[in-house]
This record gives sequence, C-alpha cells and structure tokens, in this order.
Amino acid sequence: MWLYVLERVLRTLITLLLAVTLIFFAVRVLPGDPAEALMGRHMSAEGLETLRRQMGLDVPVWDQYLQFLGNLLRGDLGISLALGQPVSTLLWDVAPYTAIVVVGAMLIGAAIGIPAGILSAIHRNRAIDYLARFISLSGISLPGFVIAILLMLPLAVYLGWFPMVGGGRTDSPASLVHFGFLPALAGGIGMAAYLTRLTRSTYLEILNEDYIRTARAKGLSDRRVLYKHALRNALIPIVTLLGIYSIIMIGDSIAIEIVFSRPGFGRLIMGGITQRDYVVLQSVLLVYVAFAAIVNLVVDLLYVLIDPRIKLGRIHGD
Amino acid sequence: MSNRVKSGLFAAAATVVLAGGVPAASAQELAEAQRVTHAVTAGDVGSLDPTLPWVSVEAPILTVVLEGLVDYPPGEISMDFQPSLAESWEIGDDGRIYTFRLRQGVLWHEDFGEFTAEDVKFTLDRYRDEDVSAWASNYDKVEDVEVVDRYTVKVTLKEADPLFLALVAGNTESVGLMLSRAAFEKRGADAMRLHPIGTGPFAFSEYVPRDRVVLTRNEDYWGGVANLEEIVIRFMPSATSRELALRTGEIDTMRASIDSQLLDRLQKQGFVIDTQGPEVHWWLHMNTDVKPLDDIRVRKAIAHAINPEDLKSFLGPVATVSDTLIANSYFGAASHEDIPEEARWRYDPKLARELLAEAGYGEEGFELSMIITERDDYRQMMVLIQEHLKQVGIELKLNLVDHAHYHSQIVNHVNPLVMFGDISYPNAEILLTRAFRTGALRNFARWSSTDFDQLLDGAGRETDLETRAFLLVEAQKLVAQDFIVLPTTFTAQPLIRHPRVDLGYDLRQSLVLEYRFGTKTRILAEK
Repeated sequence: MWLYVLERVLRTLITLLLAVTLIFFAVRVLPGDPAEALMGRHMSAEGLETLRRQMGLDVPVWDQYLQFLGNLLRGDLGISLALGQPVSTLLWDVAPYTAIVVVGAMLIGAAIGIPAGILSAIHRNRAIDYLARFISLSGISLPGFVIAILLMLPLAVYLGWFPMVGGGRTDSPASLVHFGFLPALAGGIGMAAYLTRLTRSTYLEILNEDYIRTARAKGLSDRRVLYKHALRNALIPIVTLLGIYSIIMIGDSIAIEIVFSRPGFGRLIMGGITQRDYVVLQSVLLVYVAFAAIVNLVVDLLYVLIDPRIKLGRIHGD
Repeated sequence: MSNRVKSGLFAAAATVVLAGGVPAASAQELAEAQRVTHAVTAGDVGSLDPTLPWVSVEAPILTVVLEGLVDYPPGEISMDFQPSLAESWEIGDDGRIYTFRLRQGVLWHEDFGEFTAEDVKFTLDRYRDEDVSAWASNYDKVEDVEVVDRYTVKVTLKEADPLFLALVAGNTESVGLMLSRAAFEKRGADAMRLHPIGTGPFAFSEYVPRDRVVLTRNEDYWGGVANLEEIVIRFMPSATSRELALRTGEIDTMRASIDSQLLDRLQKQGFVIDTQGPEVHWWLHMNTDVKPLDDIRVRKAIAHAINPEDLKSFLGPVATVSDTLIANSYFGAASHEDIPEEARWRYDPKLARELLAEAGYGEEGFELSMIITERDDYRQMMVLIQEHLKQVGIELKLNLVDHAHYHSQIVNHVNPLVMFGDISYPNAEILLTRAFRTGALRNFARWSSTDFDQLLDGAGRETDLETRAFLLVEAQKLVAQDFIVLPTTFTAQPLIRHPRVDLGYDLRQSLVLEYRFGTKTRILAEK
C-alpha cells in the first residue's frame, strides 16, 4: 500500500517538473514580449530595452529558467510583469471565484448525473431512459459557454433572480454562491450529461454480469442488488470521470468566466496572453497542472479504497 | 479650399444620430444612486500612467482623473480650446512661445498638495523623455519648459506649431494630461503605473485586475462637485454578456461593436445610441515590396475589384464609403474634386480583370496569403474583400491570429495586404505622417516618395493654415495616384447608454472612444 502511494507521488512529481519546463519555454515562444505588449507601437528601441531590463527579460532564457525553478522550490511564484503584484496574491484573490464554479459544477453534475444514469439503466428502453438519453446528448453537444448564455436569458435577464456580472464579495459566502450559481450550473449541466451516459452504460454492463445473476438467484432484493452490488462496482469509472471532469471544468471555467464577466484563473490566463505576462501565464498554468496531477493522484488512491483488489501487487503487474 | 478653412477647422463631423438625444435637462428627477457602470471590451487596462501607451480602455478613466492645461468644448473636438488647469495663455514670438497662467488653489487627489508650475514642467519633461515616454516624438518641437513663478509656466518651441495646444489638452487618447510631481517622487513611477493621481472631478479608488476600476467623486474639485458619486469601469470581453448585462441593468453604458444588427436591436429595446467622430479610417494598404503588388496595374485591379457597398452594408449606418483618403471632418482632407478622376477609387470588376490580364495574370490569377486578427470588424471586412478578390481571380488566404499578434506582426511587414483602422486628432497631417512617410513604422505599403516627404515637411513648417491644408491635399494626391492604399470606409464610433444616463453635454466628437463622463453627468430616476 505505502509503496503504491510512494510510487504514485514520485510519478506525479516527475510529471510536474516536465510540465513546468514545457510551460516555461512554451509561453516564451509566443510572438512578442511583455515589453512590446505594454509599450505597443509607440516606443523607441531604447525605451523598450530599458523596460526589458526592468522586467528582467535581458538575461538569458536559461538563467531565467533556473531562477524560476529556484523561486518555485521556495514557494515563490514571482511578480507579475504587467501588474507588478505577486502572482500568489493575484491567485489567492481570485481563487474563491474559480473554486465556487468548479466545486459547484462538480456537485451539481454528480447530483444530477449519477441518479439519472442509474434510473436510465434500470428503466432501459422506457420513456425515462429515452428522455435521459436525449437530454444528456444535448448537454454533451452544447459547449459550456452556450449553455451559460441559454441559462442567463431566463434566469438573469427575464426573471432577474441571479446577477450576470461579477463574482460577488469574497467575505460573504452567500454572495459568492449567489453570483456563482449560474456559472456553476452552466458547467454542471455539461458534466451531468457525461455522467448520465457513463453511469448508464457502466450500469448496464454490470447488470449483465454473472455475479448479479447469482445475487438475484440467491434471492436478494432488487434494492440490495442494484445499490450495493452494482453501484460499488460502477464507482471506479465514475470516480475516474469525476477526476477527469474536474480538470476539464478548470479549462471550461475560462470561457464561463468570460461569459459571466467574473474574475478567476481563466481571466488571469486570458490577460496573461494578451499582455504576454510570462510570469502570470506560467504560474497559473502551473497551478492547473498541479491541480490535474493531484486529482489524478487522489483518484489513483481512491481506487484502493473502492476496489480492495488494487494493492501493492498491481504495481508489478502492470 | 478657402471654404474648408473658413467654415471652422474641424467643423461638422459626419456623425449620424440614430436615436434620441440628451433628455430634457431641468424637470427630471434624479435617481437615488448616482453611480454609472460602463463596460469596456478589453479584458484589462494596460497602464494608468499616461506616459506609457494607452488606448480606449484607459481613456474613460484617465481623462476624468487627470486633466490637461486646456480642454476642448464638451462633446466636441475643435481649435476652440477652453481653459482647464490653465486659466489663460498667451502665444508670443510668432507662435514659438506659449505662456500659461495656471488656476490657483487646485488640489491633487490624496493630499499631494497644490497643482503648480513645477508639476507642468515635470509632466512635459517626462513626456519628452525618450527613455520613459511612449510619446516623446510628439514633443519633438518643444525646446524648453520654464517655471516663471508658482502659477506661470513658459513653453518654448523650436518652431511655431499652431496645433501645440492639442498636446496639453484633455479629452484625448494620448498624452496631454498633467502629472503630480510630488506623487511620482514619493511613490515612484512603478507604483504610479496602476494608481493615477490627478486633479480631475473623479479620483482613482480601486483597481481589481481583469475585473474593474472604480473612481469616486472628488469632493474638492475646482470646477464644481460632480453629480455622479461613483464611476465603475468593467472589463467585459464577451459581446453577448455586455448586451445582456445592459438589459439587466448591471451596466449602464458601453461601446458597441460596429454591427448594424446589434445597433438595430438595441435601439428597438429603447437604448440611446450616440455616434461620435472623429472617424476611424479603415485603410487597406498594399505592400509594394511584394510581388505581384509591385506592379501598379495589379494594385489598381485590387482597388477596382472591391465593392464598398458590401462593406457598408455589413458595418451599417455608422459607416461612410469614400473614394478619397481622409474623412472631411479632418483638417486638410482632400475632397472628391481634389483627386484626379483616374486616381479615385471605384468598384469596377471588369476593369480589374482587364488590368490583371494586362499584367499577365489573366488566365490563372494569383494567390496571396496573409494573417488577420480574429477581432470581428477586421476579420469580417477581410472576408468580404476575400470574396471580392475571388471574383477577379485572386485567391486570398486568411490566417486568423489574436489581435495583439496581428498588430505586432504587421509592422514587420509580413502581410501583402494590411487592414488597419486608424484614428487621430482630426488633422490629415497626423494620419499621413504615420502611414506614408518614408520609413514610418506603419508605412505598410513600404512606399517611399521624396515629393511626398517634402510636402509633409513643408506643411509641418507652415503657419498659415490655408497653405498648410493645400500642401496636405497635394500629398494625398500623390498617395492616391500610386494606388498603395484603399480608403474603403470611415466609421463613426457607436456608444450605447440607458436613457436614465444623462451625459450632461451634447456628444458629437471625442478623442476618447468610450464615454467620458463629466461633472454634469447624472442618473435620472426611472419613470
């Protein structure tokens, strides 16, 4: 068990280092640099050089890279080139806004998707199944930002129940939820759609397994068969999808933040691209990658809890 | 010629009033909350120190927080400069010396003391400094700035410049605004970059990156305390969200894209549409360094292949089609009659095909490939032009890139054709200098004409405005005859406001492409 955990953690760290390196160089491949982005078309060549010196862009890229890694080890994400504020402050300031959308979307997605998928599987080829399949297909086909606009029209524009602009006040959870509900719903609907379909197909597969027939033959109640034996076995793909989806949601939140004019990580990235703010870009991307890696790690570890067959031996097995 | 000058320099902007005007001023009740929220399309500000480049996003902030020595009449761009931080000024030595008498008792925001002649010197010296200022070349003609006494400052120019006051005027998207020496010395330029200190009717209060800037009323304002308590500028890059937020009342005003359907829809919903000049010039430049565009017959063919009416119907009522280079609200613009007939731009696809055949491209035509920004106005116009060129056998390949990349690359002359929307203080000289002078950064045609350069030099030295305008017209003829650029269309800027927002002035022209709120701007109670 501990070896398994150690191995996963090590793999995660290596992935992170590779990703950090890739990101560091990738953002610098973008044409133009922060000095040019800030000064636009107006500046003399000498002025640009002065600015580059101030921004620390005149030292060789390799030195910048080593310095970046060194700072990172000390937990320092650097100072934004365009805003002059520590990136960690920028991130912490907007983290609640992104968190409420991602976590909210996951909760909404799971709360709708898992029960809908189970119902759909149990009532296969009946009205409820067709309805769930139709709605989930629509949910998959529509991108999050389209769903967002479709939600805005009735709930924000006509009924006026929810605000459309801004993220609310960070010191008030009620305000965060009020402002975050529609964006979270927009993300959650897409996720619910995926989960419905996955839960349904997994469940159908499991219901055809021998052990379910055996359980039924033993005379167990329907309820016990469906919710104990079947659900537990269906959880592995569902947890995997939840993990993957939380990573997708972070990406989706960029479009959602723009549509809802909310502050958040996505807006930081967009601004970082237009301003060629390498420090902000690499740090926010790093947070994304770290998040994805941690989610994967947690999912891997959860398998052990869900499926006792996954143990030490499996490392050598695969 | 004389007509144009006599009728006032920049008189009669070609603005189109689509709906309503300013609601009747007196008998209106005021709303309780005197706050206006304005949405800008950009995702964030670049800098709030006017020494660095700033554009339409920063303009509604900077021009109400900071002020110039002089200002234009409200809602208008003309030579009729009005006192602002300077109470009066005298022009001596044949236009070389400007002596400004400053208003007394004007206070900087946040206790930075009184505005004095030292601040004016500090500001102009800072703007002139090539190492820190993006605008240094604008101040080339300034020889010296001298503090005469606490409230008097003397600016000496190397040569007379009848347009010098525009360089110290407010309501602008470039320079002119006075900076606090004390604030820069105490806080340092780095800290001032996103925290402006001014003397204006509104003071900077809060900046939340990627989200908003909040300005609050300056209770000590010398020009009378403003009606509005607060101005919120929100960064909202999504067009759909801006439109919906206008309907929910979460924003009050915004700048609209140039899109005839959108304007139509908003008007039907009861919003007021203001259109303001000066016009943006949508010029299509042709790079004469690139084959086969080095052949004037090919350039002419491209010019005659493009149908301006298509562009106009896409852009809607804010657009005017032109066969001359510069909109007639600009000083020194050539008129239709000034340009010889064979050099005028007109739609004639048959002639285009003949010209191509003559140049040896009759059978197969040829291909061109270029990058274009994903921004709607640019992109859609180029897509229409792509279709027009196809009709005469020219295959134009468009590669989409982001807006910043587009602008950073076109100055490296990677494109055979460059679409560029330019706007300036309404003086033809500025647009001509930027685009056609030998070696100019935005000389996208890579054109070089000694005659043209000499005409511009002459115009720059000329103090008689009529002769100056004549020289500029001659320069435009040279550009037209060589077919290095197509004027395509001019567009006025549409701005949208809820009828409850009373601007307090009649908006016709502004160098701020967004709303500039004034002391008289107020929010009316809704019926």
